[in-house]
Amino acid sequence: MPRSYDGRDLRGMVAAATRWLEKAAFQIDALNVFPVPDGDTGTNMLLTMKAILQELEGCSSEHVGEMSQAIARGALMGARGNSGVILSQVWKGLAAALSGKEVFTPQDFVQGMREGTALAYKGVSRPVEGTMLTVIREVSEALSQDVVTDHDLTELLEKALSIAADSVGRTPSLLPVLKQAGVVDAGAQGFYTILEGFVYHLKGEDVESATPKFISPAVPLPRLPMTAEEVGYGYCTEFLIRGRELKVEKIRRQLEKEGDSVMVVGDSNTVKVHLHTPDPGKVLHRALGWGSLHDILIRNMDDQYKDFQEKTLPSPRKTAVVAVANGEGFVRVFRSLGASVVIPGGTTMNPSTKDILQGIEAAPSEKVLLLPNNSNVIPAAEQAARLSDKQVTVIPSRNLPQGVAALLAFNPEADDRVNIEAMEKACSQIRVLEVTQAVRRARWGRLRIKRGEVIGLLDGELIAANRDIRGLISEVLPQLLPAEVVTIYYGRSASEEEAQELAQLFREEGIPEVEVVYGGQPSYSYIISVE
Amino acid sequence: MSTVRIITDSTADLPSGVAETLGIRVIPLYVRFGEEVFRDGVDLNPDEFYRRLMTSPILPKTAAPSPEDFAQVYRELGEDKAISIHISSKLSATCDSARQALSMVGGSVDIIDSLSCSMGTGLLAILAAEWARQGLSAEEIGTRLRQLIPDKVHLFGLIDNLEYLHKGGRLGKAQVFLGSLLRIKPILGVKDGEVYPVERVRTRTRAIERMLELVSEVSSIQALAVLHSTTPDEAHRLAQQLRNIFSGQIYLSQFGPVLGTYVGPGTLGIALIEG
Repeated sequence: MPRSYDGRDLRGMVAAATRWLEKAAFQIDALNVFPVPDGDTGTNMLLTMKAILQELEGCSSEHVGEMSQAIARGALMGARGNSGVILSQVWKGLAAALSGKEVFTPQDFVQGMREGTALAYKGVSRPVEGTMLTVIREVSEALSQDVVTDHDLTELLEKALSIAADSVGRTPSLLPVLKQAGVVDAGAQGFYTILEGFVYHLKGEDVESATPKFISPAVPLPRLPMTAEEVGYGYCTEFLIRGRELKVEKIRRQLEKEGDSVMVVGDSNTVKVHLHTPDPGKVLHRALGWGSLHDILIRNMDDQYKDFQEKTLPSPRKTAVVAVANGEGFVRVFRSLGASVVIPGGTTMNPSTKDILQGIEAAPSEKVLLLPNNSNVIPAAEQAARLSDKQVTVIPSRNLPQGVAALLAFNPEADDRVNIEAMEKACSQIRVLEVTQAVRRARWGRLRIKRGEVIGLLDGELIAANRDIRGLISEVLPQLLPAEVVTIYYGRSASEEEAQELAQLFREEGIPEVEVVYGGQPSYSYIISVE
Repeated sequence: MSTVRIITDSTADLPSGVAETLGIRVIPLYVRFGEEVFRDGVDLNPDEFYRRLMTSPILPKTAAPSPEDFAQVYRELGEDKAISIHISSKLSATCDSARQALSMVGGSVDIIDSLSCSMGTGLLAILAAEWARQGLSAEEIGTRLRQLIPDKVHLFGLIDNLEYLHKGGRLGKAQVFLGSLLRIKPILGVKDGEVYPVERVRTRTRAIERMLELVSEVSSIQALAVLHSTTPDEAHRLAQQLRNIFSGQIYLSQFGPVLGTYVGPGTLGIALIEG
């Protein structure tokens, strides 16, 4: 009789899988090439899991069925991105199979995987094999076929894990863009990581001390030309021949000797030719004998391949920028501006030295420029820099907007010394106003602050307190002028509407460029940078 | 011995009248809006191009001149020697076409890859034409140009919208500037024949300031041009400010249809040759 599992187990599994995914998220992001190389999959799946966890934390019941409802709700609402949505459908399926049950059995879990698979496929308008969908399906099929009914959940999930590993490894053979990039599918890897988290929890192993496993592609990868001298591809040559009594067959036979991918189509007056040849001049010269040539297009295919490589491989940068950030908006801003890795700072913007080291390790280069983005994080950052084997330089950014300015100043084509100087200078040229609520009464210099008042810190120094935010901004504005660019990052506890109203206050002072950006930071309702 | 002939292509964005005055032959590239094909600068002028760019649902595509287009010009040279200087081979197949044509037709044409474009190439053609007038031989002109090309030719610009370069597949190393969640103004340049990122700034004003700073960092300038796609007044003002740094002739030019396809409206550029 297989044992049954209760609410505590379920909670533990979800929490462990989330923590596990958190460790792997940056590397999963780096795998992203499909459907678009936007580097989001790991983060999206993590945010989805975190939303589930949050909803679960709000659910006080230990009844598995009720918890499943909370899980499904959290998943649906928190689903982010393509991969997040697929994941949420799987959770929805699991929740359906567990609904109404006080405790669950391994068979319930298998049923849940089946339903989750069906929902996941249905939820995608054009399901593509070689992605997370394939792994989910193959795991579900394998588990369903398992007739041995006295497996406990741990054994079942270990089996699922090995099937998933195999499936993830094979994704490049199913999806050409993965094969060309030489990576497994990011979503598939993410799903594997979640299963791995479940297993770690059920076996009672500590997720804190171990490292998530990354599956390598199981297919031979395409030969990658390393130098420009390596010739292989030749010229893609296309042209139109216009003439009289052109003999398409004869032309085709003659040109087949000159290269490959030969296509010759047309009639006695017009023939279109396409081929890949190392000597386009020779081909054109011969074609001149058949008629006049038109619409001639010659492309060096080595260049096309190199271009493609540069775009799809996680680019082996000489130096990468790693930033610490909290607030999903800020994380996105840093990634969009070119940070290779963003280390989640947590609610209090307080990552451990180990967290920072992991971020450094995950960066795709031997040299790293590290942005702590908080005065409190600088010591841990410097410690991590000392401990790391990589060449790490800490740019001492004291807050998030300083980090943004530094990242904007970073030029991947420039050498490190130039960049470090530019980035440090950028940090010093920006002023930052942080706005939050006072949690207690306080006296600060000449300021008397009441609990609940809105307080403003300019470059870390408390300068004003006011009953409301508009009042505060109006009060401190004179100290912020003159200014050319103001960026208002609004946090989780603020609203875009209010942010836009504040933006208006700045615009009324004649500041030319005022931008409102979602920062999502948990602590300060507004972080405002002034340049 | 007759004057060396100077040939370039329409991507050089030579200001109107300059090609005629200096006797430079300009071979047009092609710009295609859907089914309609135009010869750059012949069938389509810049203003009409930008009007179409901003109203047409189809994005234009460009194509290099065919070898036959070059062959016609090379044949006309007869016994004369020529310098045929063109847009970077990393950005266009134009040089390839020229070389094909030369192998078909023969003749004394020195085909030179400018590793630049727009007035980067244009200024080189202008210098070449002036040297030709002074009576320099084709070999001497070729040598001088080849000395300048590797690192004395600078082209950079403030791009208003990176999408045109992105969709046109010419963003090159400046890819890193894509996808920013903050409003930024990118300054791009052409180096070693391809597009590369120079700097990202937050405002247009700052970008123009930076471009002026970049020019003043060059110790000595022998030729200078200011380019715009759709903002001639801005270009004039920029040229005014450059008069404080350079006392020679500052060419004012517009990004033609081919360049315009990639730089888009609202772009401002500076081309200069050191020396």
